[in-house]
Formats: sequence, structure tokens, C-alpha cells
Amino acid sequence: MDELDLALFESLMQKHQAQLYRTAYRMTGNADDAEDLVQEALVEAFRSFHRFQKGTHFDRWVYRIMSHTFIDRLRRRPKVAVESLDAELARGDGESFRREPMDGGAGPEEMALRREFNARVQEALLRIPEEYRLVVTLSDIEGLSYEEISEAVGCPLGTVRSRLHRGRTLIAEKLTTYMDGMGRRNRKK
Amino acid sequence: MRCAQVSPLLSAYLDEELAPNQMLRIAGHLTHCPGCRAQLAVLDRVKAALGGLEQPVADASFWPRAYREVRRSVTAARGRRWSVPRHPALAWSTAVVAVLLALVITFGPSWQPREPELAPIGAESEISALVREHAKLRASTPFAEEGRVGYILTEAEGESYE
Repeated sequence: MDELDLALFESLMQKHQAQLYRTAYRMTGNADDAEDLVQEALVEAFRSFHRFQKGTHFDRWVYRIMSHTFIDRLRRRPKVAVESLDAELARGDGESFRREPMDGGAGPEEMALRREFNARVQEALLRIPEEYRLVVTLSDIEGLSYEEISEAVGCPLGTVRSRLHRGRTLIAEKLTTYMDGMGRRNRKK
Repeated sequence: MRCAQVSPLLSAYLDEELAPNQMLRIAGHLTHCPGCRAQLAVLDRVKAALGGLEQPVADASFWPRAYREVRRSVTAARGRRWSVPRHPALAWSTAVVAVLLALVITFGPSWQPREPELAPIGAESEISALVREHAKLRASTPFAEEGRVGYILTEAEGESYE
């Protein structure tokens, strides 16, 4: 019975595991913690697998379980690997900062800037409360609709809407602080 | 609509996750409000920045390891279901009591509750005979029983009326 369940669980999971890992990575900010998080969530999901109603959306169901695991785990281990924005500014190399993500045909210098920008966005994401972070990740990185997020996180549509808006606004504030800092440094040069 | 009403709905407007009438009202507000337009542009850039993040991929060895761990946790849970108590003293005493019970059941005296001895069906029992005799006596001499009781009481108290 367990073997059959495990085989079914694995086959359903394999369709969504990449997405799950990406979400875990964005929630934690690094590969090691993402793996631990996914591992714990997988065990939890399999333990509850007998409650899954066949024929319903497996991805939303598994996301819901994993959301709880994510939040529980992040609360148990509140310290995530976040680099200090100030430390990064002190190390700055004086390159100009572009607000928009750059296109795929960028050269090595632009690629370095893109990596820097992505790192800033990830840092900003890690600095907002985890309830907002999860909703922002599911919406803007994984592309789920509000209804899907509502089911996945287990909260009303209105809560999804307000968390997403608040999360994006906080990220914008943190990125603005960084970009303003870069502007001041460039002017001093 | 005023800016205070529009501002919290701008993300949902950006994602087109509002009712059509709300979408239209906010669009109308944005045509004449540069502040809300600027806020919408910032939210749009944040959304684009998040959507443009590289997509991390798990190490190739991770998923087989992860499913092995799920399998291991199932086996461990099954093992716990049948495990002995954690305290050795309790485990030993339970085992001793079980062995003693088995010995008593196997080799001990076979005790069975005694059933009452019943008169054979068809034969007149002693009680039935007494009842019949009592009924005859009552019919012939109605006060004989009372006299007998009085005699018994007198005997018991050690008194004599003779």
C-alpha cells in the first residue's frame, strides 16, 4: 500500500518538483536551505498524501502543505543568509546601475551587472516578511493566479491581493534605497 | 476614486485581477493622476525584476536523495508502530508477566465455575414437594402455619408456656 502510494506520489511530484525547488530557493536564498526545506516539505506532503482527493489539483494541494512547512520552518530558523545592503555598497565597484533587467545578448560586463541586480532583488525579497515573500514568489516568479495562490497558501483572495501589494511595495522601497545609494556613490566619483 | 482608494489596488490592477468595473474606474483615475501612474510604474518594474530572476535548478543528485528520504521516513514510521516501549524495565516486566500468564494457562489447574445442580426434568424436585405439602396444609388447617411460627419463636427465646 505504502509502495503504491509512494510511486503515485513520486509521479505526481515529478511534474511540479522544479517549480517547488525554485520557490524554496527564493524563500531561503540559497541551495542548501532550499534542499532542506523541500526535503522536509516532501516528507510532510507524503505523510498527508492519504488526504489528497484524487482528481483535484495536486500542485495546489502540495503547495498548500509546503507553504505551511515553509512558514513553520522559516519561523523555527528565522536567520536566513541575507547579505547586508550596506556592506555591499561599501564594496561597490563604481559601475553604473541599471534599473531594468538587461537583454540576453549582454556582454560580460552587463552580465556581471545583471548578476548584481538579481542578487539585490533576491536580497530585497528575503528582507520582507515570509507571508509576503511566499505570495510574491508564487505570483511574480512562478506566475500563479490570485485564485491559485489563495488555494495554495490557504487564505482569502483579498489577503492575497493585500500581501502581494504590500510585498511589492516593500521590495520597491528596498531597491530604491540601494539604487539611491549607488547614485550617490557615482556622483562622488 | 481618490488616490487612497486606488493605491492599494494598483498591484491587482497591474495583474488584471480586479472586476471589470474596478479596472475601468482605476484606468480613469490613472489618466489624470501622475502620482498613481508613477507608483504603478514602480510596481511594474518590481514585478519584471522578480520575473527576470534566474531560475535555479536543484543538483542532479538531490531528487533521488529526497525520495529515498521520504521512503526512509515511511519505513521508520512503520518501525515505530511495532516497537517495544522505550523504558527497558517496563519492557522486561511486561515480558515476565506475559510468560507467567502463558505458563499458568498451559499448566495450571483447569478451574471452571460450578454449575448449579438441577433436578432432572420430569422428576419432582424437593422444593416442588414442599410447596405442594404447604398448599395442602393451608387448605386443611388455615392457622397451622402461624401456630408453628409461634412455637419456633418460643423455642428460640428459651421460654416455656407449659
